[in-house]
Amino acid sequence: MPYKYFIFFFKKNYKFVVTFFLIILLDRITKIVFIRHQQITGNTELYSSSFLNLDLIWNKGIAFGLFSYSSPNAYNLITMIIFFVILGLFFLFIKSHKSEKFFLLIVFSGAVGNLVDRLLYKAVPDFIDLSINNIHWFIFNVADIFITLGITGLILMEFSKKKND
Amino acid sequence: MIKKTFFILLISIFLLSCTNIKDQLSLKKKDTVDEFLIQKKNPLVLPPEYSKLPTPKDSDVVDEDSQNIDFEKILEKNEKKNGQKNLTQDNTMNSLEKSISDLIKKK
Repeated sequence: MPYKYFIFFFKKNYKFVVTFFLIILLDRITKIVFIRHQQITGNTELYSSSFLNLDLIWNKGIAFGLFSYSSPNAYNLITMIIFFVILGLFFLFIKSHKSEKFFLLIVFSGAVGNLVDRLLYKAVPDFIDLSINNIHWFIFNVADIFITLGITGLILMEFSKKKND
Repeated sequence: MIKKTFFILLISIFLLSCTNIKDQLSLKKKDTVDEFLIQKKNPLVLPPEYSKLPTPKDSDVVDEDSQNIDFEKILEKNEKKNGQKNLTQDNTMNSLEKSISDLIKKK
């Protein structure tokens, strides 16, 4: 019986399911490439230029390196909070419609990608370091790109709604 | 609208995992083992009369000379030596006998 429900769910939402798995796959592949490179060569840096550096750095905390505590209890507590936030996102995704649903899906997929790393490696690998005139932006990963895109889309949608009203 | 935007931004802080390069590269003190509790080990020193100790040989190396010994030649040599010894012994015995018999005859 659950098999039939799964097929029904997949047929109804196959676009979302495929998008979710594509984002997860892209995120996982890039992370594995960097982690394997570090394991084999012992070097964290894959590419370096004046604008873009691809250098593996582990983040134990949340956004902008906040709450990067070495205490395992603090880490587990933050992971639990993130898990419940993702769960809340999933319910919002089910209730939402059209473009809002799509943006929530992007945020949800990226968040799941980072949560998987938190559970697997006890830290999230970040590797994209953009800099202009030696001023560095925060180092991020592919999952962060999708989360930022989704969040930006959701905020823009709110502004457009206000204008229409 | 502002409330929802604020809520979305608050959520994004927990979901994003970007980090600052300065935090990672700075020499911030981390929670590690107390360095004063670590006992120092004495430096490694050569034992006294170390040079007098025999140098170890590689057990895998086979002495070629020991394998190429021609036992037949050695046995032949030994036999010859033994034969010569016997002859010399016989000669000495004969000379002794002769000298003794000469002395008796003189008397």
